[in-house]
Amino acid sequence: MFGACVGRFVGQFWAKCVLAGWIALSAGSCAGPSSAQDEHPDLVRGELSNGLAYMILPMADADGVSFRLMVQVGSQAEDADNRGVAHFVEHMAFRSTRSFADGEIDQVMAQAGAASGWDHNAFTGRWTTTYHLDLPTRETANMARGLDWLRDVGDGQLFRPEEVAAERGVVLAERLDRLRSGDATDEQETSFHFRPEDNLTPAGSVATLNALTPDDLRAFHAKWYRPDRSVIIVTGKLDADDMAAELERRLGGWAGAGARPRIPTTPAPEPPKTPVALVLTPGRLPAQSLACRNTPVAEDEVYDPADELRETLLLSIVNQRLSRAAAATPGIYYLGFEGPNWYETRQVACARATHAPQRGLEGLRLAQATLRSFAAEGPTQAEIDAAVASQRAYARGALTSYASATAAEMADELIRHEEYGRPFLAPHQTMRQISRVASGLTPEALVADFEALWPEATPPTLSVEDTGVSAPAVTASWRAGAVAPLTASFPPPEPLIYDFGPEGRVVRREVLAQGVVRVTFANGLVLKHMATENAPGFVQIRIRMGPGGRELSPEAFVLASAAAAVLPAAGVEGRSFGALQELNAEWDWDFEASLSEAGLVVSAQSFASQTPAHMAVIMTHLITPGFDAELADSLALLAASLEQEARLNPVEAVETAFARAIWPDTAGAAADPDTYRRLDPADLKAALTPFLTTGPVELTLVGDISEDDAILLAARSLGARPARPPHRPGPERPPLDYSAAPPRPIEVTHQGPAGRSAAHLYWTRPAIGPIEARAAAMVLTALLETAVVEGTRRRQGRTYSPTAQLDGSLTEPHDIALYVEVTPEARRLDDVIETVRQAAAGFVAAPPAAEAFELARRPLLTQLDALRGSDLYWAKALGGPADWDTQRKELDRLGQALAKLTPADVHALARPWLSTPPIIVLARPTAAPLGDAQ
Amino acid sequence: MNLRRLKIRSALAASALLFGFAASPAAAQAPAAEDPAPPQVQACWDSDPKSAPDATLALCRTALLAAETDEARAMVHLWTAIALIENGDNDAAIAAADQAGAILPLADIRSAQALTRLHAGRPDEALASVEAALRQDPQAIELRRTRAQILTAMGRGAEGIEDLERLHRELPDDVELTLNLVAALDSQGQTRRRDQILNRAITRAPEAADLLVERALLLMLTRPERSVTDLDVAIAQAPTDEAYALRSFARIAAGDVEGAKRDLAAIGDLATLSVPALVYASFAAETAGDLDGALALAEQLVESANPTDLGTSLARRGTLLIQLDDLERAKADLERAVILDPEEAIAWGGLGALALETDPAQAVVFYRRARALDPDDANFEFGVAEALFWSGDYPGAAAGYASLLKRYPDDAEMHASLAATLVRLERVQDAERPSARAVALAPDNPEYMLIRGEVLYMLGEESGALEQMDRLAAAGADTAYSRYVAAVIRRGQADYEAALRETDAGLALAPDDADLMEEKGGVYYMLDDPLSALEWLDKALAINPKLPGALFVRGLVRAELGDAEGAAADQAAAVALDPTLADES
Repeated sequence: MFGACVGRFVGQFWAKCVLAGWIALSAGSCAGPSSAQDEHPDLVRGELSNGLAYMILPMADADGVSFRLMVQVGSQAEDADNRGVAHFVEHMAFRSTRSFADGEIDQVMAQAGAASGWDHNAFTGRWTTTYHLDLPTRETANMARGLDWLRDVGDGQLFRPEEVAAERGVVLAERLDRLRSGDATDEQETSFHFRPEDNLTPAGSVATLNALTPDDLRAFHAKWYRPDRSVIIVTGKLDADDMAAELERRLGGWAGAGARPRIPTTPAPEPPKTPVALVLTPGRLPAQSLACRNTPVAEDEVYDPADELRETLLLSIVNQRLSRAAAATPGIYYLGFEGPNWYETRQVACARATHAPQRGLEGLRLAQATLRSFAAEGPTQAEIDAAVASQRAYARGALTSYASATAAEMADELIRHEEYGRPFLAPHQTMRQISRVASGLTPEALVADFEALWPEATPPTLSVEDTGVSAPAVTASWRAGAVAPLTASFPPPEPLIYDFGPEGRVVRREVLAQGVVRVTFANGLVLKHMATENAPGFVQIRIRMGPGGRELSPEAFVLASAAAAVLPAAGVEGRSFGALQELNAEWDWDFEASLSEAGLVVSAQSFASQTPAHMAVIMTHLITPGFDAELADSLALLAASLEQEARLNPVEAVETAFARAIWPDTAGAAADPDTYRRLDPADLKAALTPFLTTGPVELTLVGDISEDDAILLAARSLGARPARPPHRPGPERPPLDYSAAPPRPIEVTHQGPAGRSAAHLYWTRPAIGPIEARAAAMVLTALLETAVVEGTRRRQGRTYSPTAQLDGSLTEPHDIALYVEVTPEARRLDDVIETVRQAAAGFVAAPPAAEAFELARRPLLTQLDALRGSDLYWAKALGGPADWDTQRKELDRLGQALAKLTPADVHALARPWLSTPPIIVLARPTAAPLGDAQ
Repeated sequence: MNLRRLKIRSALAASALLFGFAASPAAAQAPAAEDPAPPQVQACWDSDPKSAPDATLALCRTALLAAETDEARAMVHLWTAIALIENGDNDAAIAAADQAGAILPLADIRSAQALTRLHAGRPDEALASVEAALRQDPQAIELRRTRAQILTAMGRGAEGIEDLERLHRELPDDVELTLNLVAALDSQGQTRRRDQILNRAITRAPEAADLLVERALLLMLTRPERSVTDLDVAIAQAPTDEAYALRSFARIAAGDVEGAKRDLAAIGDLATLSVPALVYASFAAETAGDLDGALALAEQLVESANPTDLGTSLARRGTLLIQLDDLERAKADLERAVILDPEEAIAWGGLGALALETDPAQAVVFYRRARALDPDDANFEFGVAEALFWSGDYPGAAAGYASLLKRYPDDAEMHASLAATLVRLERVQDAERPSARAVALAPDNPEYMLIRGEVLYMLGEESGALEQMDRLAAAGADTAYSRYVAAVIRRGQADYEAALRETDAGLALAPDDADLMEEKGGVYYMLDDPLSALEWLDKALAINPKLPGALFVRGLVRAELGDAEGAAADQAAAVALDPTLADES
């Protein structure tokens, strides 16, 4: 499990990300922000007797407790002979340790309510490896067991040869899973603009992973896993002193042997003496072209959060200008100024363009011209104010989100700050920091900052991902751009003025339950409101409108489904999506739309203070949706992207093939790349029109909003609109079923990395009615996943992250399926499919073991409990088509059903269901598997 | 003119200098020798008894021994008398003049004896002396002129006019005599006759500089352009400092500021200027913006003034010192002026100005006294209104400004002052018109922009108000208050970042302004930044612990930060100071 600092644009931030964290612990000079800096007033920092740093954040309102153990080691500590060893070691922490037998920790944590892979996980990056454990309760025994395991992570891993052998396959499978189309292009780009070393990921190479022995792993672990290179973070409702004592008891005995090692450094990238260019063969979608400038870092420069914030403001302003330029230029999808990557002596800032074919040079020139204009004219005060307002909005959002954050969320926040060497601030402190930076910030100062990052005289490195262009042409184009007349900046969009009509009138109010009302307006709008204290400062908005999905013909359904998905990105009349993004940048907010059996559903999470403004944005989309020509560009890109994924990614290839085979005219077509290729914005708008103009409308508001405010909001928005005529339904589209499934496996090939493969196995059946059966289906799904993981991953080492899921809602009248997804190495695909079939057969043959049954059921009960405190759940329940009485009892009934469930009940469900032959869909590579050679 | 005549005239002219208005200083010069005199005597005559009396006394002491003729000895005694007068040794001066008369009892010297007494503050003795001489030589023109001059100085000019008229008829071309008569008529308010005499004299001698200067002086306030013309001719004839000084004012009055500056620059020796020329030139320099030059002229004015004019001269210098912010000296001058001359309205007005900020109630008294002494001077009326404003008597001030506006409907400052007063009276609607008029009459005046902005803000016309504040800032004339008003407006418009910039700009001008600090804290509170809000509200309350608004908002901030106890204490304190805040709680 690696991730964290590793991503698609790894070269863009990891140096900055980890240099700070690495310096913090390797130099031993900085176990956190200096005393002169602000830090969250509740955060307690300290150090155990063995040098292990700890951070404890008591949270008065948290239910659970979360632990994070971050070790300062990652792929940067590896060399050519042991690439991947850091990640391999991380995996072995979940095998046998001093206190836990192989697989036992998963069971122990599952009993404590922590699901493996979710609440119990680990991540390896270039510089750090972090172990996560989120316990849903503060039971002392569970915390003790969790800490014991974390202690074992430190010095109790056993590296048994047979387990190393099995886990090697898992690590290799994960490596395969993480391969992406465009990786090679990314690597070329990173090597050219930054350093080849910046391409190193924790994945390692097949050769080194196969060559690593248990002793190699043990030696690496012994060298780097040391308390003086680690920090443990604890969050939750706890007493800091008590927890510090507990940490001392459980982890204080962990000792590192020998001298504290230092992670080797890599020299900073050298700048070119003249402009240099690289032409990349198109491999990404969309293609990306890059111009970077490598400049020296001031010798006396020290990390200052205020500087970083100021840089954020600068980038925000510059990127806003670039966005406007891109939005106004067909074929240029995105322009951005990224940067800088910090190295010890250099910094590299880049301008990036994503673009259509044959537009690479144009994209770079447009970025160059925009940046030159910015340097010449500087930002306006309005731009600075907007950028500051945007940062304040983030801080405000944090104020709201921190107030209702879980222990796990806060632990992750702490880890992020610690990794980046940033002080962890309370939102009020962040706001004060913004105020201090904003005070006296002038356009001239920002221009000076910009010129330090992007000095016109510094020769750039240029890469263009395109065909029909040469490196000399790229540099010549840049040189010409450097002396071209300055161009005028694109003006900011005009703000929207909202006026939805005279305030609507309430004609009926019904109390559905304590704190839940149903209000009917004169125009027919139904408002459902529920005030909660689950998430202070947040409000869930849900609008359901128009005819149900089944009231549409298959063709109309496909078009409307696509239109609904695209609606938030379609802009509104007179304002493109880009313009709306800029106008709404202060919020960093968006909404979703989808087509369901119950109609068009628009949903959003809003801040209580912003709900009227957010509602106005949604309303404008519903009244005057955009779907202008700019969208055609995006649709073409979307179609190409879907097509590429279906061609290169085996999982996508499987899903596309399945949809085309089973539901070629409806649900399948709605997700098919070919469908998007044919779409026209005007058609989409027409397809959505019935939903926006006819049929009933229902608004559901749940969360931190009073009934009075909810009614006022409704009266001024949807309630202010004219009454809508009823929808005249046509012939009802039949429910989805699997009757079109062919008797033999559906087999396709993909053109992605050789060696990758994927398979889905679907066991289908009619929809499940009784709630007891639904509970059994949920447990069966969990049991099947556990069995598949056990068989294909732990025992065989052939998969990384197999899953079992239910396809289709248990409450809708469609057929449903229990399906398993596996992504093994291609040469193992048939064996793995067989293992999955055997695992399913096991549930047909006999009831599950009581212990396994319990381990599957316990996390489900925890999840149900969590749903009770979820406004999103209640918004869906209240805003759904079913009657409220049924919905509000659903959780209780399901919980009761789960509690009463027995292994025999699961067996009774599984026996007929899993006895039927599954629909198997698989994707293999076009070329012969290359195995270890890749 | 023979030598004797020349020398005596010179001596008389020099002695006349001592009496300022009475004779033309242009004639004052050291005796010119047609026959070479002994060098010691020549040195005495060449010295300047007014600016360096001690040197003159020393030189003339030696000259007395070297003087070979009675005439020379008499002139040396006379020169000595002038120096002694300058040193304040009046008795010795009279003795020296009497010695001159004893050696050479000519009418001219007898006149000088009388004038010396006049200067010594003994007008009765002066009159007796000249009348005694007249009894011996009843037709002596010099003696008759001197008698008229003495009578004029004694305020009994009418008694001498008849004789001067006779003399004038006898010697119509005697410029000096004409000037004596003009002065005498002027002192008696016989302006028509005065102008008639002067105009006829100029008709007869169109290029007589002294006459032209005199007429220019008389026309200075009523017909400055004509004064300029006369002085142009006079200067063409004889470019004296006196003429330049007078023309500087005439030009100012005629609107020619640059020309006035050139005239002021052309003045060589301030000590040669008459009191009126010093007064006029000082006003000219002040109007031209050269306060330092004006003060130098006023310093000389005080220096040159006789006891009768000293009060006026001190008042003049005092008012200039106020403008130069030398308030201590100003106060001393003005207080001395009103002691010397309790009727000196300008001095009372100056004292009013000095008291305006520190003791406005006393300023009301001073200004009212000035106004009583000179009801026509609108400055005193304005001062009364200003003082009433600052002493908090807004109805009184408004009435004063309104009254003044009837006399001066186009006076921008008056409109602005009335607007500001009406704002204090919360008659904002009424303040709209005068504030608009003030800005219309003087579009670039920062104070009027500020008042206009404040009025517009209170009327809810925020964009107009902000426009005024922005103009102020663009002109570099912003004040802490203008920034405060702008910040309040921008906060009201939810333009918080701009509001913060306004408070920062205001605090740069006035770092300890508690109102601006309070406003800044309030803006931070609106921005959901309670820590910064607390910081600035604490600062504001450290400077002024009784700011109800700051206490109230700090209560809100503390509540937001979880400090319920502190919040309650602040809110209670705020409501105690301003009970209307209870409605906000």
